[in-house]
Amino acid sequence: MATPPDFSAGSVLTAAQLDQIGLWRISTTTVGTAVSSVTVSNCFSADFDNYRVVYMGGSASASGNLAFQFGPSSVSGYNANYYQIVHYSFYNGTSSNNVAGSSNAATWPYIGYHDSDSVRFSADIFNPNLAEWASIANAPYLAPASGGFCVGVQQNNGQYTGFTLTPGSGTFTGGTITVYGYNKNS
Amino acid sequence: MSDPLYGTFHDAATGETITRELTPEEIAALPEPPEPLAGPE
Repeated sequence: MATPPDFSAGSVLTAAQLDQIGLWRISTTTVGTAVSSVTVSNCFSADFDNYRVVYMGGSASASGNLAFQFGPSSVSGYNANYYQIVHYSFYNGTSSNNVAGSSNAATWPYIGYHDSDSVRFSADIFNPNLAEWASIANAPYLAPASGGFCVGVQQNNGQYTGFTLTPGSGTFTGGTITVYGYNKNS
Repeated sequence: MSDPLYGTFHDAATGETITRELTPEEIAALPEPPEPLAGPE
């Protein structure tokens, strides 16, 4: 057999080789029609420390900023202590290095963008299920006239098992939300 | 009477996805829309 990750057809993969898989797809959610929120539960667990969440597609009834909130609501502090910034510049070059922040909010309110073309959200979520602060990074901000990136922390030691995405305005329709776990097998 | 609001709910443990009307409690828990970012969009 060729040296992994160059596999040969029909080869039997060992457990050690499979344990090298970097990203593991945990769940996929097909978003309904004209929904005011999408909740994915039981996707964060002790199986992984860090995750990638992608919702690139579907559409929205209005333009606006996408918000992220951990869950479930039974976890104390799930709806508070969210801090984030979004750095963005305009594609036409007329205005660069803009910054917007949100402190001690109920969500991360500027963590993606949505409009009639699509919902555009993709982010790394760090340590949501550990008893320490969770954080979000590598989240692009992709608006029609400007682009940038978002990062943030949630200053709470809650051990979350899921999350909810909400549009800043209007509703979501369609598309798929995929949750991946970063493999921590040694 | 206002139109009902709906949400999609997916349970990664079971793989089940449903879209249903939000309860009054869930509607009350929806976050307030943030201020729009500065500049034309």
